[in-house]
Amino acid sequence: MKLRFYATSLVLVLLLSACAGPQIHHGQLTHLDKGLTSEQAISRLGLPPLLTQTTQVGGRDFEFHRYQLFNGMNADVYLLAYEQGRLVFWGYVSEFRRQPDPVLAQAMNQLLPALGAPINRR
Amino acid sequence: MSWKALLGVCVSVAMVGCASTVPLQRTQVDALSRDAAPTEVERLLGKATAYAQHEVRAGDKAYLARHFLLQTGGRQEMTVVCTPNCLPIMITVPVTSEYVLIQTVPERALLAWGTLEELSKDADPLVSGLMPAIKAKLQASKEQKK
Repeated sequence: MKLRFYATSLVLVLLLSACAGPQIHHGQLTHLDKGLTSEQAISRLGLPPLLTQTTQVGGRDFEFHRYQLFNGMNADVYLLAYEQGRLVFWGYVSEFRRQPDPVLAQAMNQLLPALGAPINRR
Repeated sequence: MSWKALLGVCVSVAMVGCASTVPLQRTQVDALSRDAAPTEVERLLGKATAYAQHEVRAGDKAYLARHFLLQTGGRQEMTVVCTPNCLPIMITVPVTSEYVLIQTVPERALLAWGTLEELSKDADPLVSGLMPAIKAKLQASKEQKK
């Protein structure tokens, strides 16, 4: 009886994770380098972004690509930022807020509603 | 404790001891700093073993990249020891991340340390600029070992 319950739970979990859409994993992140074009980054990740948004802050143009990063338990919002067509930073929302470029952090904050992530500014 | 259980514990300890690469611990990397003298860096690294190392160049400067494993956690794995009766033995297997230290050559001054991902997006363009070559050389050394 217990075995049937666990087997059913496992099947349900597998089905639900299949519904979550395409995701990237931590192992793929080591393939990213600053200066990549979006085509190169997509090729290295083996997956196109779920969403793309552009913005201009402080006279600088940014393009953000949104992915879902699967951490083994659930999927989190993961962003790649391009400036002048080149990858300048990538990470979780919190990592964008910690990195030293305030304009990039501001651009990310500006796009968060459009990128579909929850806004939780301090 | 029965002699069988004792034997099982000895086998599991021996198996852990056979691990060819001794991983770094978080306390060790937390103690590293850019102004640490090379001898101090070596002391902090202790018995941790680098599984690969190679030199890369940026302009006319050479840098040494030393690759370690950082223990980020552990997971329990069960193995069965039969002597001849079989006993299940739990072994804690370390969960690790690839971790790299970059030092200047020949001074061995510590330039940067972190996971491959962290250093690839480092704010210092020198560090992030070294990473493509470091990762390519690491990949080549992994393929050589296969």
